[in-house]
Amino acid sequence: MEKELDKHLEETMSNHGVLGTLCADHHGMCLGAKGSVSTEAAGMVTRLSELAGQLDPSSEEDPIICVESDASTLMIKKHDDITMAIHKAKVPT
Amino acid sequence: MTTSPVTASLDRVPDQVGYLVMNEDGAVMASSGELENDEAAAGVIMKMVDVALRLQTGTDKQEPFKRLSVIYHEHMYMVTISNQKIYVSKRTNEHHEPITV
Repeated sequence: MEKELDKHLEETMSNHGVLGTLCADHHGMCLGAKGSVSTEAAGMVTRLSELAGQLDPSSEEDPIICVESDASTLMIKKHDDITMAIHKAKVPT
Repeated sequence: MTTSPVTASLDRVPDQVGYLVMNEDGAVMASSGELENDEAAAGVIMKMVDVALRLQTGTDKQEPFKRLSVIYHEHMYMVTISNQKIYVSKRTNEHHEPITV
């Protein structure tokens, strides 16, 4: 399973502009991280997705969270018990 | 609530259905529309801002976020900090069907 996850993270990293990627379980434990996103961010990433779900408790949908800065964006999405984060560079327009 | 220049400009945000303005302690200073007096949303957003500010990723070290968005299928919340105030805008999410050619 670990190899499979590692392969998916590598595949994500190969996309244009991706600086880092992270995968965490619902306890905030890091299952895998690559590139610019450190394993220490797992807890905060999971917490953000948990809090975002509380914004609209009636909605069954898990929202996408984007933390944008001048140079990059961190996108977070929860799927079942797994939270995935992708750190992407901003493409100059 | 009196209309200040800040809330007047917030009123002009396209597709907006409500807004919140909070101070750094999380106290609601102004609110409108679907977010009017929504203390629950204000509390959750304050916690999210706190986590997002602590979240540091490689290249962004020490750099605070410019905008925090929570995107649902039908609507989205956009959060930004300016002048020690937290601005939250709730907007409807416009969907464009993909074009198949």
